[in-house]
Formats: sequence, C-alpha cells, structure tokens
Amino acid sequence: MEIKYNENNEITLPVYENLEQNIEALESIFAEWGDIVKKKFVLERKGGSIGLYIIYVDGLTDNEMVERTITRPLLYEWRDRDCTRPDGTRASGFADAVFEQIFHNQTEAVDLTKQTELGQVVAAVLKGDTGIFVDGAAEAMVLSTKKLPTRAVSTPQKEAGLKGPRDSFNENFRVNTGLLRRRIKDPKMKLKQDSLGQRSQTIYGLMYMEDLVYPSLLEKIEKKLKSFEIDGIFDSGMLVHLLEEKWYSPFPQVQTTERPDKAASAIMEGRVVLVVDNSPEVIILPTTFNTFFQAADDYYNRFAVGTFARCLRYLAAYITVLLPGLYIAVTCYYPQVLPTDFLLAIAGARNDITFPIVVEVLLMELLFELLREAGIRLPGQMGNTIGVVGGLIVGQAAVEASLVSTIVVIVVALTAIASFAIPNEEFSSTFRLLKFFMIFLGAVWGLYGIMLGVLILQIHLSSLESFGIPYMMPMVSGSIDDEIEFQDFVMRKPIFTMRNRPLYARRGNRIRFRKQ
Amino acid sequence: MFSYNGKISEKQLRRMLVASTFAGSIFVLPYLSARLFGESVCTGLIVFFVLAVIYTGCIYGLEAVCRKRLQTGKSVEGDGRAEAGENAGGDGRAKAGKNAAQDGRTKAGENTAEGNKVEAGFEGLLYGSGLWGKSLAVIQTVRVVLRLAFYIILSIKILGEAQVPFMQKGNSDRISNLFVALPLLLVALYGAAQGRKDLDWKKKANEKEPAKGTAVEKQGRLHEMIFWVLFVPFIIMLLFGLKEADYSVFVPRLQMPVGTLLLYSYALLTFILPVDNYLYLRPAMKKGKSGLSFGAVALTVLLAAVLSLFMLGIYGIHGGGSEEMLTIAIMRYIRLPLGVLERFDVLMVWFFMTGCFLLICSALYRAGNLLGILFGRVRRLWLLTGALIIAVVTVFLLPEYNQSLTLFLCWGVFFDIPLSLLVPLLSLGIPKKYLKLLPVLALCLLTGCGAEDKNSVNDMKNVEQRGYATILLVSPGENGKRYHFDLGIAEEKRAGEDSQTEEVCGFDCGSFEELSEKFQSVKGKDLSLAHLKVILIEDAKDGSAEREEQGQLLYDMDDNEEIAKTCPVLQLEDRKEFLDYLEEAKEPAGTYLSDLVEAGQRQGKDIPWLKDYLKAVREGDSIFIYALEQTEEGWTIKCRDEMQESGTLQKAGE
Repeated sequence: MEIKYNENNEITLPVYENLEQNIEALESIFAEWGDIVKKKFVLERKGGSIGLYIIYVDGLTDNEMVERTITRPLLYEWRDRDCTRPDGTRASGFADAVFEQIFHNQTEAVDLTKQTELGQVVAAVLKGDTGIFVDGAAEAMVLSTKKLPTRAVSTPQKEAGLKGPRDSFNENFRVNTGLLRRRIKDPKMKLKQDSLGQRSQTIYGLMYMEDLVYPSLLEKIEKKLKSFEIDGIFDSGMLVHLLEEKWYSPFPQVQTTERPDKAASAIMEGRVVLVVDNSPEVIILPTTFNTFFQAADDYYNRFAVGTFARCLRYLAAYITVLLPGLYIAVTCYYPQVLPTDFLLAIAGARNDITFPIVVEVLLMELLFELLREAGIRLPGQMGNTIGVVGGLIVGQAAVEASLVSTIVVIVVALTAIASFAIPNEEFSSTFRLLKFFMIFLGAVWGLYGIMLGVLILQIHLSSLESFGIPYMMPMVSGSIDDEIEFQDFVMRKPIFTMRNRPLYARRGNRIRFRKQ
Repeated sequence: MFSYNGKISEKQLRRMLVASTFAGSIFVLPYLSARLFGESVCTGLIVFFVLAVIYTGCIYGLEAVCRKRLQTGKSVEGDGRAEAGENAGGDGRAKAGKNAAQDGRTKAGENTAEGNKVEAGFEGLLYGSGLWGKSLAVIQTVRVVLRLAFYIILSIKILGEAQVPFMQKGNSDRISNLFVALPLLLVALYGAAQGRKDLDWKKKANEKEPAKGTAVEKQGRLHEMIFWVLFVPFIIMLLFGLKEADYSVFVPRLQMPVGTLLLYSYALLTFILPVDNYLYLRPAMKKGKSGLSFGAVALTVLLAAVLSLFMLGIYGIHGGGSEEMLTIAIMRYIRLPLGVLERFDVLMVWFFMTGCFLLICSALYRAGNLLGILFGRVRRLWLLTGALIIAVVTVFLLPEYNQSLTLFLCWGVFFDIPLSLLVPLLSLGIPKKYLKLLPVLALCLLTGCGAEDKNSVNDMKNVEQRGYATILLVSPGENGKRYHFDLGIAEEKRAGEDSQTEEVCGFDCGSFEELSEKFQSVKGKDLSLAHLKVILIEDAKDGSAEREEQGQLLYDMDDNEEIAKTCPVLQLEDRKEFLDYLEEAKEPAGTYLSDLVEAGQRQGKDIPWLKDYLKAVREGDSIFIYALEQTEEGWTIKCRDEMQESGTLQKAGE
C-alpha cells in the first residue's frame, strides 16, 4: 500500500473500517521495524467474534501494562459478554458496539482516546502509546502506555550548590513537568503542550502561571515556536538558538537550567518555562543579563552571603573578560601604572622569555582552553588527571623552559578560576570567548583598545532584548520601579523586603510577600 | 512589555541630557574659564551658571511652546509650514502634546521618508516638509555636524593626552591621528545606528501592532548604562584631590570689565548646547515631569563649574589658562593612597574617552535624524555614515585644537547659541527674512584650513624592553649641553632575589627627548621616567643664570608626560658624593629615598613634589625647599629655605 504524507511529514490516511486495510497500511509504515510489536486477536463476544489488532513499539511501551489493561481483560475477562453500551443502549452495528464497550468499560485504563486519523495513531505509537484497532470500526483507540527509557532523577551537574534541593531535570518530559508540579501546587500553573520537529516530533511544554504571565509574552513565545520548521529537536540547546532574536550575539538571550527549583522560581516570577522532551535542561523566558549571575542558593543563604557571592560573580565576569587584555595593555603600553617593585618583578620574570607578551598570554590561554576541552571529553577520573598534568606539570615545565613567565601563569589561572565562578556555563563561555577579543584589542591599541571593546559590548548589550525585555534590566530599565528593579540585582535584599515580583510579572499582580 | 514602544523614560531623558552636557563642558570649561576670566574665574563661572540656567529654561519653554502650537495647529502659516502643520495634524497633532513621535509612527510604515521624520520626533514634525522647513533642517544639520566635528577634534586631543599607541608625532599628523580615532568613530557609529532601521518599518506595518522605531530607546538605554562611567574619574578626583586644592579660587573676585565678563560667560554656553537635544527627546518621553531633568541639567552645569574651580585650585589659575587639557593634566597631580597604582592618569583618560564617545554618538544620532528629514528615502545607516564622513572632512579642514576651540567658541557666540533658540521658533512662523542666515552659515562652513596637532608616540613595547629610572639627578651640563642627567636605573628583580639595586649612568643632553635617544642608543632599551621615586636637582651655586636653567628644567619636566608630577623633588649639594653612594649601594636607593621622603612627611616636613615646584613657578607661590644631605649616620632630608620669586628658583633673602 502506498502511504501518503503531507508537507508536514504527516500521514494523511484515515482509520479504515476494514481491519485488513489498517493492518496493510501499518505493515507498510512499519516495514523493516525490528522493534515493532503487533498482533491480531479474535475477540469472542455474544453474537459473534471480531478481529482486534494491537500495535506498539517495544522499548517505549510498558508491555506489562498492555497485557494487564488490554489483552487479558479483552481476551479473557470480558469473553462472551453482551455488546451493550454502558447506558444500556446498543450501538448501531456489532463492530461499533464492541468498540464502544472496549472504550468505555472493558479496558482497565484511564488514558484512552479515540482517533480517526491513522497518522495520529502512528504518531502516538511512536511516542510509546499503544494503538488498538477493531475490525469494522472507523476509529482506533490509543492507550497511553509510555515507559520510556530514562535515568533516575540525579543531582545537578552544572549548577551544583551547597544549599537547597539536590534534584535535577532529566531527559524525560513527564518527569520534568512533574518536578515542577511538585513544587507549585497551583491550578493556575498551566502547561501548554505541543510537538516540534517534523521527524523527531519532540514534545515540548510551556509552563507558566496564568495570572502572572503577560499574555503578550506568551503569544510572542508561541509565535516564535511556530515560526519555523525543522527536522528534529534533540535538546533544548537546539531550540535556544532558534528562539534567540539576535543569533550573532555571543550572549545567550534565553536561560537554561537543570535545577527544578530555579525553574519553579522563574514561573513564580511570571516567566515562562519551556520544557523540552529528551533534554535535561529547561529553557526560561525571558531572561536578562542579571539572571545569569543569580544562583539558586543565593536565596537559601543569608542575604549578606548571597549578596557577597553576587558581587564576587560580577567581579569574576570582569576579570574573565578584561584581565588578560589589561595585563597586555598595561605591561606593553602603560607600565607607569604599575607600582615599581611589581613592575620590576614582572620585567625580571620575563627576561628570559623569547616570545612577546601577547604571544605568551595567547599561548597560555589556548593551553588552558585545550585542557578544559580535553577535561570535559574524558571520563571523570581521567579528566581530573588532565587537570593536574596540565595545570601543574605542563605549567611548571613551561615556566622552566622559559616559554611563559610566572606572572602570565598567574594571570591565566586567575582568569580561569574567575570564569568558573559564573554560575551559568553558557554565559561563562561567552566571557571566555570575549576575553580573546579583548586580548586582541589590548595588544593593538592598549587601554584605548580595551575601552573600545568595552564600549562595543555596552552598545551591544544595551540593544539586546529577550522577548520584549531589555537584556540589561534593571540597568536600563528607565526606572520603571526602582524598588522592584534593584531588589535582586548585585545586592540580594532580604527575602522579607522583596515584597514584589520582578517586572516580568503582570502589572497589578506583583505582590508576593505580605506580613500577616 | 517594556521595549519596542519607541519611548524613553524620564530617567533616560535626564541621563541623556546630563551626560552630554557634562561631557561637553568638563573638558574645556576649566581651561577656558581660566584663560578668559583669569583671577575673576569664580565670578565668571557664577555668571555662566546663571546664564546656563536661563538658557536651559528657554529651551524647555521653547519646547513647550512648539508642542502647544503643534497641538492646536496654529503653526499653519506660510508655504512650507502649512504642509508641516498638516503633517503634524494628520499624524500627530491630535496627541502631539503627549507623544508626537508615537503618532507619527502610525504612518511610518508607508514610506521610509515618513519613517525618518518620525525617528527625528519633534524635529521631524517641525521641519518635516516644505522649502522653509527643509531650510531650517539644513541649518540644524549644519549646527550638529559642526558640533560633531569639534567633538572629534576634542577626542583626538584626548587620545593624544592618553598616549594611545600609533598616535603620530610631528607636524603632518592630522590624517594619521584621525585613523587612530577611527575605531572610536566607528564604535560611535555602531552606537548611533542601534535600533530598528527604517526599511524594516515597511515590513512591520502589516503586522498587528503599528511599527515603531526603537532607535531612541536604544540611545536611552546606552546612556543609562554608561552614565556613571563618565563620573567615576571625577568622583576619584574629588576624593583624593581634596587636600591638594587651594580653595582661595572659590572666592569671587572682579578684576575685569563687567561687559567682558558677561560676554565671556555667554560664550561658554557654547559647550552646554547639547541641552537643546531636549527638543527631540522630550516628545519621546513616556511620562513624568520634565522639571526633574531641568534641575538635573542645572546641577550638572553647577557641578562642571565647581569642578573647574576645584581643578584650578589644584593647578593654579595661570597654569590652568595655559594647559589646554587641564582636565586630564590634573590627574597627574593626584596620587592614589596605599600605592596600589603608581600612576592612574592613563586609566582615568580611559574613562574620559567614554565621555567623548557619548558626545560623538549622541551628536551623530541627532545628525542622522536631521539628515533623515532631508533625505527621507535613504536608509538610516547611510545617513549616519554620511554625517560622520562630512564631520571627518570638516575636522581635516579645521585648524589644530586650540584654534578650533576658539573658532568653535566664536561660532557658538554668533551663530550656534542664537540659532539653537531661533530655529525652532522660525519653524512656527517667524518671517522668512531669517533665511538670509543660510548664506552666512555656508560661508562659515567654508572657513578653515589644515593644521597639525602634536601628540606623543608610545608604540607597543614589552615590559622588559624598557629601563626604569627610579632616581633622576640633574646638574648643569657640559660640552655645551644644557643638562647633565644621572640616572639610577632599577635592575629587574628575579624570582627569589631579595631586592634590586640601581645601575648608574650619566648623559649630557639638551632635553628629555635627547636623553631618551641617548639612553636607547647606549642601553638598547627605551627609557621610562614614569617610575621616578625622587628627582634630585644639584644646587645652583653661581647666581641667577643657573637658577633660570632650573626654571627651564621644571618647564621641561612639566612637558614630559611620563614624569609623575607627584614625584618628590630635592636639592643636592654634592653630586659626586651621591653618585658614589649610588654605585656602592647594596639596597635599592630609589626605594630608600622614597622611604626617607615618606618618613619626613610623617614628621611634618612639607617636602615639595614636582607639582608644587611647577605651581610655584607658574603662580609665584612660595614653597619650602628641601635638600638631601649626607651625615655620619647616612642620608637625611633637611629644609633648606623658602622659594619666593616666580619663574626662577630663588632662595629667600637673595
């Protein structure tokens, strides 16, 4: 049988009344599928027998559930029963009667739906559901029997914290939505679900608080998600790039997190969380520069500690971007800035070095990036070994071989440590990339170059937006409401003073803390 | 939501006005006020402040009048004005009072010409159509482009002061220095070009929401972000320079004719003209009272005036009147505590450049908007590029900084200030006879000639490729040379070594440039005088001739940007004795002498720094002279006598 697909790669066939035709179509669709499970049964009922066809994908489906809720009741427990409807009336035909009985009271399942399009049934089967066809009925039943291979909820790898919950999202969509539902038990938290990717049919869900989110924001996100067609989405990372307005910007314009508490907190602020199947990270929309410096445990620690940590992170960002460039600019062009003793120490350390300072810094920075990359790709223990070998042995050897000076090793190490202090890996990578830009500018124009670089960054950042929110909020908020804007900026105010939700929340619905 | 609404907040408006006004005035006000008013500087600046407040009030009032006229449609007079009125009425008159720009935008999608007018906001409505309106737009464009050209010259001057690499020395440096400034101009172009482009509006017009230009929003955000960076150096200066200032300059004196004082005060208004940006910014403001921004502008002018007086208090009025870039030079006169940084003037210049960027960026943005009125169908980026090219060509035609400053001042007195008030009024129905101004303006544009600017060379050198002098001993030269310099060059400290000592070398030279050349040819390294711990001057024994030489030496040191003006200066009686000590010393002599000075200061000795000597020479003040003397126990610093007369180093009683 020839299977027809529309332009969206969807099957356009209906569910046939004739079971053989359905079987033929499904055989064609699932030809050369080694993991498909399909079987035709004969149901014995009062007044005759009727054909039944069950199909599901092994590995995605809970076989035991299929047996417990469908095959055993239908073939054994309901054998030779009268074909009447639950309300006592009979269906027009025998097949319809059997179909209706199965649907309403003979299966022991809740999540059971009717489908008239074969394409819909196939799509459901591909997601782990079970398709049930009854001979003579122009409808099929889809029973939710998903049991996807998944790992257990584990601790966050990239956003570890000393305080707070230890669970993290995993690749299972339902586990992820469940982790959020577990934290917010409010009927106003909605989940709009759909799928993306013509071939991958990846499920995604938009989770938000109905009364807090700006409808225009939600509309904008939905519009953006519908604005493209793609073969497949395999991780939220792919979707991130499709959602960003300025693709060329080095700065991430949407935030990803693997921590459910962080995502739940974003929902409570009036933001939207986009959960993508097969991805251990959810996307938070909209986002600002400041939110990348916020770590979950900021709110679990005392406010002074949280604020201090924030200050350190901002400082770390500046160090990561500027320190190597500034070192080059100052030592090559403006040594008068440095205290004499320190300057002479630098000069002394560099006396036997063959390469110019720029090359020296670039050499060490590239070495560090190589070590980092190698450390990520290698298994845990070996990764640590690479760190030790690279950091200690190669660094020491490079200094002794007069390839680099000790000061440069310190500069690069400080830069590296600072880059790891930024809580978001993607954001920190941006800073590490910009570091090379600043090294170039510092080497060519000294402090003037660095200043130009900083200005370019400021212009770029001030023009960035994330779904209608200026990226540099609250610095460029135009003072919409100073109290709200700056309560959670570099300084994280005590929880009881953060009375209002941030500006993402709908106007008129911003109070989140009240004293009784 | 919070963006794509084509609006700025009151805070953003305030910051845009304040940043441009402050950056536009602070670089020139201290120098010009000292030069123009002399001893009457405080009185002059008070009058300037009063005039500035009046002028700002006029601009604010004018904006209100124009807005009211547009609201009621009474501006429909004359040829082009009729059309302008219609435009305003059709697009924006209904709500012009609230948001003229916003309403104009509803039609923006129709064509880019309309879009450009709308981007120009209020000005777009005032000068939008007709020959009369276009003529006025031309005048405004010329004003803004000339201002832009001056800001570029100012930036080049500051870049020179900041010892930026590749700045060329010599006389034919205008083009090469423009090339060094080019990255800054390109960054300013990038900044001014932010926001939705007009061509996109056409596409957006079919969408649900009316198309809106976002350029003004982006400008607002940019200014809001950079705002504080502009003020950082001045906050530092205030904190660390308080004890350095001579507060007698804050006493109002009147030692010049009142008429002249008034004229000069009026002339200084040229540098606060960015206030008239209010005309196009106010209609883009979302809500809030404009009175706040008025107060902020007035406070900014006051701050600039007070800071100018403060700088003159540190530098001296006469010295300030001859130092073109006093705002930067003053940074060499302030020392940071704790010795965290040896010198911080170059770092401060880094912040100053931010001010230049803001000036260029906002002027360019406005020029682009005005050109948009004239050449509506051209894309905004091209308009901005065009404005920048015209400004750069104008820079090349204008003379060097000091003369350009004077020209700009004259331009301001006779044209720019009056036109800033007249042009908006003219657009509302002033007789056409003012069109006669156009040929005059054209003539002014054609005035100018090529010239030069001197800047320092400071190309890339690795840190170890320089010899760092920690001690400079100056004595009368031999073999026809003016000076004999003995240098204590600090040897580099290797890891594990306890201390470094100085290597001694001596040269007969006529100037510091010659010293650098000789040092380079002998040592194979560049000489750096930035780390001098102490300057020793051999005592003048033979009367006034040698003391005049010493006066000249001080002026030479003042010209040398490398020498920190916060370096202590001591007299020395026996040069040979000291050199013997230096050669045999097992410890760093520079650090030792620096410690001696600090110990002396702790004991209450008022040991003069180079800046004190310079101020004494310029202003005729008295200072105590201290000398380095050897005793049986070692070296010590003793007070020698008082220096009194200006221009030369003379001891009291001689």
